[in-house]
Amino acid sequence: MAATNELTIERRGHTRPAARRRANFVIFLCPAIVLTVLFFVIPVVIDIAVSFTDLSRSLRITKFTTEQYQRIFQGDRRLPEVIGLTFIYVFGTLAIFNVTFGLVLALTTTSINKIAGGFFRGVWLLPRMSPSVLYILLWLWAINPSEVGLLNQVLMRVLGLNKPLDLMTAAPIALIVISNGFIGASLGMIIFTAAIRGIPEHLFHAAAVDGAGTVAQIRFITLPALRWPISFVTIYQTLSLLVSFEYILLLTKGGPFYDTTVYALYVYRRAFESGQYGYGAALAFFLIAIGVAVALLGWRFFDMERLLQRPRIEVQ
Amino acid sequence: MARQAALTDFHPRPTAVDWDRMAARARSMRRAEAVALYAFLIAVSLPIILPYFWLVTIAFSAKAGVAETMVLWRSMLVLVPGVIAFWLAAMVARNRREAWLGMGAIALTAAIAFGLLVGPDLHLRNFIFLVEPDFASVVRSRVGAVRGAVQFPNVWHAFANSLLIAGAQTVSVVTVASLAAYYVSRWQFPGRAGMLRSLLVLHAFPVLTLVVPMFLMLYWIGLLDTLFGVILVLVAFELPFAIFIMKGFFDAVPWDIEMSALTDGASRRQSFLRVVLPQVRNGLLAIAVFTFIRGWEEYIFVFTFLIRNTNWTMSLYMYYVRDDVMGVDYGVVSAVGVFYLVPSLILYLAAQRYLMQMSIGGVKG
Amino acid sequence: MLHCKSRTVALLAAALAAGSAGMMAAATRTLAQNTVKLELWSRQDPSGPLRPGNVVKAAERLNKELDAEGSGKRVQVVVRESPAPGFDDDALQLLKVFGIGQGPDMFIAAHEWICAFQADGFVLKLDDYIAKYPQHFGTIFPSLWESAKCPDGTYAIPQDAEARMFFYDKKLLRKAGYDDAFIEAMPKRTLSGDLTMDELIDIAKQVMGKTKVQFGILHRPSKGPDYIMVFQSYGNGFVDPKTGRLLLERDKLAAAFGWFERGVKEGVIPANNTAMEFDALRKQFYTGNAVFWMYGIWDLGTYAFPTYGLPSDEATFFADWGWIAAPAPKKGGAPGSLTHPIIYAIAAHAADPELAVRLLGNASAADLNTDHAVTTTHLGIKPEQLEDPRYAKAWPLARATELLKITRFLPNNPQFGDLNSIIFRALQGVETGRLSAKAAADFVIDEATASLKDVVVK
Repeated sequence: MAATNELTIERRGHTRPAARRRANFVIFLCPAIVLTVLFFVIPVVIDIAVSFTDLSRSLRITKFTTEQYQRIFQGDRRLPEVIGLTFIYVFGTLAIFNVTFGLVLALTTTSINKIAGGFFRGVWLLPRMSPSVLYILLWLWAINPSEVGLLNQVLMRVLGLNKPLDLMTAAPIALIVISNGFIGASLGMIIFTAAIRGIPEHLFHAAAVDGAGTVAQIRFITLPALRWPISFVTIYQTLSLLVSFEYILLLTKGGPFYDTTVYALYVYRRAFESGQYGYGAALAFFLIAIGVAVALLGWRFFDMERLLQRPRIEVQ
Repeated sequence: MARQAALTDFHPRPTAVDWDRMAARARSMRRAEAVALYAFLIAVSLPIILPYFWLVTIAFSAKAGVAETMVLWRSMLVLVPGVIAFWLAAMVARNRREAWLGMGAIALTAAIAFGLLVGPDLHLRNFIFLVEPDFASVVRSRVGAVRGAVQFPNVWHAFANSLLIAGAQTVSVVTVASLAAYYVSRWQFPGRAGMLRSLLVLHAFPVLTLVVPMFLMLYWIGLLDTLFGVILVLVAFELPFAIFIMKGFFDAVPWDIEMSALTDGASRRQSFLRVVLPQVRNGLLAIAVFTFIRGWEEYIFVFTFLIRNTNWTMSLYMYYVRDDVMGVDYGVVSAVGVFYLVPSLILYLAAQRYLMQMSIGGVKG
Repeated sequence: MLHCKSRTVALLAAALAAGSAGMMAAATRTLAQNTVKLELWSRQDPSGPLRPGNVVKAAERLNKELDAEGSGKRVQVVVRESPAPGFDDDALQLLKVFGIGQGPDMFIAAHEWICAFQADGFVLKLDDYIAKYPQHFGTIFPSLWESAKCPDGTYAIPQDAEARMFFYDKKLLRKAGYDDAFIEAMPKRTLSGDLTMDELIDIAKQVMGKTKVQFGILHRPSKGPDYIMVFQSYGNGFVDPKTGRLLLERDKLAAAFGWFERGVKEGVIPANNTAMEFDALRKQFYTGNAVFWMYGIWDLGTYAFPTYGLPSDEATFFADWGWIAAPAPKKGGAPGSLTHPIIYAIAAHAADPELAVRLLGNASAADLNTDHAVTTTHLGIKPEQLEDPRYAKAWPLARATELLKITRFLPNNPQFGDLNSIIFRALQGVETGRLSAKAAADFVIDEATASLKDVVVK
């Protein structure tokens, strides 16, 4: 219907010369295309090119070589640890916070009074909405290893611990999982909440009449309706956890020794702190490849028909 | 005979169903559920609320730069019972008037208690950095160290830069994204399907992996260490998401509106500007708010691309104030933090509506 | 009509604008001919505000000189401050800035990085200039020049020197039952090689056992020169004297890491030393919660006296506090100390190198340098400073000068800064228990051979 309408208007005499059509294309679409190509496509090409050089701090390329890739596969003792840590971090945060806790929050906040539910959701969105530097600053103060830290205050006064706890040395991986988890849980929470709101009320009433308790209702009505949002969140957040290192950089700078240096942070540090741009580009290449692969995987979860025709965003 | 008695024992006489008792039991179970839910939510939300509240209390009460928690605990002592009392009043009150009376009385008592316990400790001296550019030496002179050692740029300068970056980014993203989204939504052109697919891929693309080649590219173009370069990069990285969202909004605008404008003689561009754009105002606002908050908090790109420290932004300022003044003055750092947080907070509260009620379009089911 | 008129008006306005712009350009050019702007890159450092400050003062003196010579030139110093938390971070930042072609004209840096700048061609060779101005540079201590040289020449001007040592708290030792004779003899025993590194751990352990003190030995939590003192004590020179290449010796590295490992195992060095904050560490020592503090002399003038109220009178100070050099590894061995001079350097592309040299020469004047030395407790660069009454009054400087006899420098290898980061990483690993001493030595050697060039391993 949309296509015929357009064609009708075209034929009705609002003759659009080809020039005007092209002009429209340029005005509307070109800025976006130019920016996207310039800042997405070209950097990827540059990255691949640089990964075959020995570019270093002096920003001069002296030779083309595959030594960066050789180093990745043979010479880097840190890499296996980094990769292992990245897996633990990504799947830990995903499993515990982004998906599970997001689900829990969505379920609990929709089961209570609307205003209160909105309040709690608002609180849980606060970490995501506040500037990253500030959020991490609060974390650093909270886990301060002396008695001044908020965590130690609570532990020592309320729970009676004797010596202040140094979370950053004692459990750095837990630290980054939790701090990133607070942020990650909020996205899942929003998406699941919207999906839960979309479930028709009468289903719940019918189930209640049939004798289903709360748990049964969740198992048989809510969760099946959330199957696709859960998959979406899982894929999307896997990618974003794999790639983001901002909070980790600010919080632990890579941790005591290499304990919290995830892959993306490892790339950043190699490139900018040791000045090994070539090696960093080679490492980044793998991350880009994985990113593109996972994104392509995510296509399957998108309803291409609806996207191509009429995807809707409901604003109530 | 014993057998008969046994039989009757296994078949008790049917009793009348006690509906009232069942209803009461159901009510109390629901109430218990609600209480459990509230308790759980309060318990998990406390680790988030407490540090932010602590930030505010330190900003307004710290003396001599110590991170005091006395003010925090004292205000909690007043606020927590106050909130609980509020809630109880709302539950116990039998009608509206009683509820309001109860809540009013509680609010008054809480305010007085707050004023008495916490009031005397509040002051604004930590906000000195707003008026005194060389606040670092003032702060240090308070603790007797070497004077005039550290020169921080004016915080308003950093504020203006952050505003510039976030603002320019927002305007650019909103403009470019709405233009592109409208075209993709309304026109059939060769490559449309491919473009939409690539939009999806880019939407999920790991942009931080491109920091290294971005750095090199900006250097070779000559835009390294400029605000313009940073703005361009930020705009480009926000575009896929923005186009994605805006397309959904445009798709939701019915064709009839546009058709009537076109039959009235408007050109396509005019109908876009005058007729369709006002319809998607909500989307524009949502994009604008998201983008602004992103630009306001941007740290990695600013840190990596602005090298000579001639241009400061609030995120850098915050980071370095923390590093330098931290051991000496928690109060000033918190005050800077509050100053940095307020714009984000205001925008976030204003945009809550859109955040809560948006579902990501195109997801099956 | 209006159309034509407006056009003429527009043309006239354009001509006027162009004319005035041209005149202003000419005027500024003539003005600019006289004022040379030199940019000085300096790290924000509370322990050295006069490092850039002296250069600014020197500009006035230089301008007077230029006036007296009848030259039309004037110099103006623009200080660009870098917020980097340490000299190492600052050097890396500065290298990046030079790398993109935006370097300053002069800069202040830690000496061991100078050859990194020289290797990429960023700094000016100064031998000829130094020979040309003996009135500025002639009397600087010859040993200090060592820290400003790279294999093919002098590339920097020493700005100050200092001494690093182990401070110790005599009150705590007394409380733990050590008698005064023992306590007072410690510095002498260190110098003669009688006190060893291990004995340091034992003393700290005993004090921790007998008093309520929480920490035994504290050191800096970030990358820097201090802990290298321990490595040098165990025989690591890090540079092959014949070829000038980086040298790593596995057993000596393991021995040095072993000391830290033992310290942590005995509970004397806190496992999270590298995660604590600088100010928090200082506070622990100066408020009597730690026995030893491995740091440097300038901490007295910058923090100990003004902030923590340590007695600034010599006798009172030494009644309760003291310091020893870095002890020998084994009895009869050689003690050591570390001096970490800071240097001024001039960029290869500097606007007016001659003027920059004269400026820095003026900044190195004895009186200006004494200002810096006395207010922040650093050691001076010229012998005539010793005659300044202020310098003589600053007893920490005089007493620290004794350590200069046994002091070592960090090697001026262009890659030493990067090696230091690797060593710090390994140190962090050892202290937090992630690496054993041997594994740490292996780690350093692996990382160094992988990321640095021309490393000799023994």
